[in-house]
Amino acid sequence: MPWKDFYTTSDEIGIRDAAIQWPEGQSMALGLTVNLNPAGAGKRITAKDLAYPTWHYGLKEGLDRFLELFDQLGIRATEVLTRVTGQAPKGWFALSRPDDRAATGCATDDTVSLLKARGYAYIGNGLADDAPYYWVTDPAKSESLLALPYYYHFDDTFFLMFPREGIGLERPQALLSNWRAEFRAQYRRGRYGRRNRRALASGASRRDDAEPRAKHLARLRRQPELSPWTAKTFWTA
Amino acid sequence: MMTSQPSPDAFDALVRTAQFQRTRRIQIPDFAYPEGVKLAVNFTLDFDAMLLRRLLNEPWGQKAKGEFGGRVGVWRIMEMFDAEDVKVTLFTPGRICELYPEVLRAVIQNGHELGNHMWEHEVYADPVIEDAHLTRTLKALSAIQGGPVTGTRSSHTPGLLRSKGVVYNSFTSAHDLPFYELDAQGENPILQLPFHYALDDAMYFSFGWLDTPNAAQRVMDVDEVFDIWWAAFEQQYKAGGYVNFLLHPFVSGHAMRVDIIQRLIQRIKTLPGVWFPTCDTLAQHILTHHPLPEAQ
Repeated sequence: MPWKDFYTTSDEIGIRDAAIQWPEGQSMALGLTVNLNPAGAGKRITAKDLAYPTWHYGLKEGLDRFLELFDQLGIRATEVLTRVTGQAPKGWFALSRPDDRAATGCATDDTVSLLKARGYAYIGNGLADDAPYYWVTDPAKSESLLALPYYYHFDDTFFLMFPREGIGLERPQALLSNWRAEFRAQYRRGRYGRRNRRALASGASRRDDAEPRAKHLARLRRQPELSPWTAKTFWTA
Repeated sequence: MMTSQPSPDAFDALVRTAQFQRTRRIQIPDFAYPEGVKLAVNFTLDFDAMLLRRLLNEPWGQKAKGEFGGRVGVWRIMEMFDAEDVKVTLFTPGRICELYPEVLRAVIQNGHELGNHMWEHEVYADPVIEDAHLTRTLKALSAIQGGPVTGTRSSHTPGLLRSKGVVYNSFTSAHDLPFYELDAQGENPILQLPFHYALDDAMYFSFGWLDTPNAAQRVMDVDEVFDIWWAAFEQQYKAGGYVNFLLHPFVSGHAMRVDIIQRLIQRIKTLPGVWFPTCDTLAQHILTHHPLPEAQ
C-alpha cells in the first residue's frame, strides 16, 4: 500500500539518488526562496507590521542587496508578488514564522487539496523528502501536488534575529555551516538543496565583521557545476 | 528568606526512598567485554517516523517531517551503516511494520536487529491495553525478524516485558555502563543498556523537542555536534566504558548528518578495541558472562 491514510503523505519509498535526473546533465538543483512576509507574528499582516523599521529595511536595502547579489551570481529566486506581476502564483509557500510552535510551516489538513483545486502547481513545504516529490491529496483518484523540499535547518528565520531581534541570538556561522554541509552531501548525491532567506534578516550587514550576510550565498555559488534552478524549473522540466 | 524544613517523618521517608532507589540499580562487578574489546558502541535508531507527531495531533508539516525518516532517512542511514559494516538496533513501533515493511526486511537481511518501541509510541496505563499493544508489537516485529525480539526502548512494565521474553531495555541514563534494574517493587530485574541525552540527535536538531519553547531553540550545526560526540566517545574510550548513540532516521537520515555520523565511525575505527554489536549481541554477552547474582 503506497499511501496510508492519516499517516503518510506520499509513497513508502522516496526516489533514490541514482534515479534522479536534472535538466541538461546538471549535478544537482539548488532552490532559493526569498521570504517577503512582513508579519511580525504568526497571524495576518497588520498596519503595525508595515510600519516596523526592520521590515522597512528588509524591503529596501535588504531586498536590493539580495537582488544585486543574485544578478551578480546569475541566480533566479522565487518571489510571490501576484499584484505586482499581474500573474497568479504557481507555487504556494507557508514558510515558518519565528513564533510558530512548529518550524515546519502552517499547512492544514485541507491546504494541499485546496491548492490543487485552485490550480497551484506546487507547494513549497515538502518535508517528507529532500528531493521534489508528490504530496498525495486523494489516493483513490491518484491526485497529488508537487512538493518542493523545505527544512528549517536551512532557513535563516531560525538563526538570525530568532525568535525576535535584539535578544542576541545571532548564529550566522551555524547557518552557514549547515548550508555547506548539506550542499556537499546533496551535491555528491545529486539531489536538491533549498535555502530560505528573509530580506529583513539575511540582507543586513553583520556588525561584527561588516561582511554582508548575503555573501554567504556567494560562497556557496563558488562550488563547481552548481545549477541555480528555480522552483519554476521543476514543474516545467 | 525562610525555607520550610521537612518533618522528621517526611525526611526519614525520603532517606528510605533514596536507599531503595540506590538498590534498584545494580552495577555489574568486574564488567568486561569479550577478549580484545576495550569498549562497545551501540548505534540505536528510534524508528518512529511520524508516529509521535501524529500521537500529539501535530499539523501535517510536522507529520511529514517524521515521514522523511521512513521513506528516505532510514534507507540512507542504513546504507551508510552497511558500508561501514556496523551492526545497529532499530527500536521500532509495531505500526511501522505496516507502514514501512520493505526497509525492515532489508534491515534484517543485512544483519541488524529490531527492538520493541511500543505500538504507536505510547504505553497505556490500562494493563490490558498495555499487554495487547506489547503482544501485538512483538508479534509484528518477530514476523519480520524471523525470530524473537529480545529488547525494548520503552516504559513498559518490566514484569510484563520479562513474561514476553524481553531481556533488556535501553531506556535510562542512570549509569555509564550496562547494569541491572529492578522495578518499583524491587522485583523483575532487567538489563539496561543506558543511553545519554547528550548523545541523542534530537536534542541538537529537532525543533521544539519535548515541547520546549521557541526561545529555547538552538538548531545546531553538524560540525559542532560532531565535536561534542567525539569528546563523549573519547572520554568513554579512555575509561573502557560504553557508548550508546540514540539516532532518529527522520533526524539523522538527512544527508549532512549521515555524513557526520559516517565520519564519526571512521574516526572511531582508527582506535583499537572498539566493538560495534547490536544491542542483542551485547545483551547476550552480558547475560552469559555477567548474570545477575543469585543473591539479588
